[in-house]
Amino acid sequence: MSGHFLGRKLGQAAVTIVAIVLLNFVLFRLMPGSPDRILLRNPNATPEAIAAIRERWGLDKPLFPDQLVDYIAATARFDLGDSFKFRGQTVGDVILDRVGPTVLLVGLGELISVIVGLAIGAYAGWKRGGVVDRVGSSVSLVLYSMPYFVIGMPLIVILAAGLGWFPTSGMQDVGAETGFVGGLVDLARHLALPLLTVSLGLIGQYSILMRSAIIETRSEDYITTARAKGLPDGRVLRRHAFPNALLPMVTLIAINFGYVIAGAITAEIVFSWPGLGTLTITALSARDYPVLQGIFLLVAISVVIANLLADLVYGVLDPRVRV
Amino acid sequence: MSDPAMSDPRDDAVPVRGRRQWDLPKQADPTAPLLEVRDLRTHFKLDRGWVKAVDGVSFNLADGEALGLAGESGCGKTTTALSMVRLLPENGRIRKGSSIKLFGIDLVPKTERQLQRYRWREISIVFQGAMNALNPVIRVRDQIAEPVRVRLGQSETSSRKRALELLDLVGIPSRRSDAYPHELSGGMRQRAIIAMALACDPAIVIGDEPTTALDAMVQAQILQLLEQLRRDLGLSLMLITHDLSVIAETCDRALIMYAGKVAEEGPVSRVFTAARHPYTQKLLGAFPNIRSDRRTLEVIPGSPPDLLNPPPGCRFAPRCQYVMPICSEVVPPEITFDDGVRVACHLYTTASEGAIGSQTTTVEPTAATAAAASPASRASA
Repeated sequence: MSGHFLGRKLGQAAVTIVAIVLLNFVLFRLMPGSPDRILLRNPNATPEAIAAIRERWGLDKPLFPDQLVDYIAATARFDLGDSFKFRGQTVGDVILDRVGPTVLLVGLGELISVIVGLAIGAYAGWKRGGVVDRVGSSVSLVLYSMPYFVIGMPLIVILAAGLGWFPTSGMQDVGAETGFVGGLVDLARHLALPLLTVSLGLIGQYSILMRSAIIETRSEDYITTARAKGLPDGRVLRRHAFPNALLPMVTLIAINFGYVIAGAITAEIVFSWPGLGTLTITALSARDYPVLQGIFLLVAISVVIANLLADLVYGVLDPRVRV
Repeated sequence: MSDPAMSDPRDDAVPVRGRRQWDLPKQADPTAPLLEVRDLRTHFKLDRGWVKAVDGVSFNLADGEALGLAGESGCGKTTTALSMVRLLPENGRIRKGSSIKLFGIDLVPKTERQLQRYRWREISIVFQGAMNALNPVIRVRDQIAEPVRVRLGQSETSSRKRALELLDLVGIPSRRSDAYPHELSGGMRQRAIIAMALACDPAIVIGDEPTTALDAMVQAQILQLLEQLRRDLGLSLMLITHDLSVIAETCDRALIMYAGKVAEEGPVSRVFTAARHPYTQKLLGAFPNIRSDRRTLEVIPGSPPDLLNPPPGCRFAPRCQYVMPICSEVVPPEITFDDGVRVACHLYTTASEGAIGSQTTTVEPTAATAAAASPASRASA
């Protein structure tokens, strides 16, 4: 891959992130209500008290340029301010605590569903009308159309509450087993159902999209060429159809990444998973603007990074875009 | 390699088989003709019935011979060619009673798995380079090496070496060998596709409109290359084109198809100079000729029939200027003339002075020997 291609993509990503940072500033300034009321939580505050608060938080300065410059400087230092809800904690600390569980859940879920979903979809599309296609496609459609909490709740009812195989919620038992192995087993037991929920939903989506990508690819001339070469059917699929069908999928998976984090909110709520999803809900109900602002920035930046990765992967997979 | 005798392609039957680097298929009858197609019927299933795209086509292809298939779009040329290795769309079927004998081995009853043995190693195809015949994400060199490695079981190194040799053979400089298809010009792509078709040293190469969509200069270069390769490597060539001049230049025999049937077939010199079938005459008339002072081209009125419900008699009858009452009732039998031209037209069934019999007599004694040495009896021997 040429350095030019890489440089251009990195430049685009940087510009996008700057735009997001600016939007983040404008958006939260446009919101109704003034922050000092929330900070003070006292409708009968004296003007002196309000002025003191405004001075303490820098709100007495003009929006532009002072506040904007302060904001950009702070953001560049990863200083996202203090949380309203979690007093005494910075937004950075609050978010950082919750990033791990979400990355674990969503990351593993994406990984599993990309592998399983693409495999099922490719095979179903290749053997169109076969058993895998008919069963797989209808199951996938059902899963695709269900929100995570609809998938998750029956799992809790049957596997957790009913059979008692898995805990119903949380990430670890209170006073759980000690030691590394014991802790890992405990984590895995808690992770199983939320992970299954997220994966099932995504597998449905990816297999449906991959199926149609493969069906489209299957009628390409180079597939006829590969068949004419007398290559075994499996090789035609793996070597010739799959890499080409993968191209549109790479973009889709990247675009999807943002939705996955957002969508995982419901899965996290259902299983009380201590991730960004539950934090978002908590922050929303407490009107914890700094935290919401931080989450917004984080999600937006991860989407930009996911798209950057997709562009790079696309460049590796498709020689035609390496310009 | 000796200069193949173009007048009688049968002469170099031995050198062609002798040059083979790989063994003939186990069931092959070394004395059988290279390719014998009898009563090929390839139909496509639609909701409304079967489209009889190819309906009773017979022809032979001898070692080292070049046969040109011509006809209007949709007349079944490509379907005929792709039927050889059964590269048909999912709804395509070769009907019972058809036979495609390669070295005396009937390919029609073969399963998909069994047929893979014959693809590319015996019959390869030069697809249209303008189309997406090359995989856009694989290096050209690797696409050429792939069949060598997978089909002939050669190592990575030797298959790559072979690919570079082939690219050299078709005139692509080795420094371009790691290019991707989109990095090559149309003419280069077509050369690469030809190189790919030669990878396993096949007995028969089918050219499916290999020069369509190329400009005239490149077209001439590609045809020259094909012609040269055929002479040098002793290939048998089946060339599909609607460009009659291409057939006149490169082929020994021409097979004119109309609506899924053979209209006329014979040596190029005869078919093009003394066309017997009214359709062939019209087709030639519709083609520009630099030696004639004709300013306008003839047009064949009407369009080919609906092959879902073809007309009962001769399929060309509705457009034929010599149409007789019998034409719309009886399918014209194929008549073979002394000069080796085979025609399916009622004009010649009534006045069959020049005819030496029906199509079955064209099958020379070799057919009897081929039948005696059928795959089954050889396998038990």
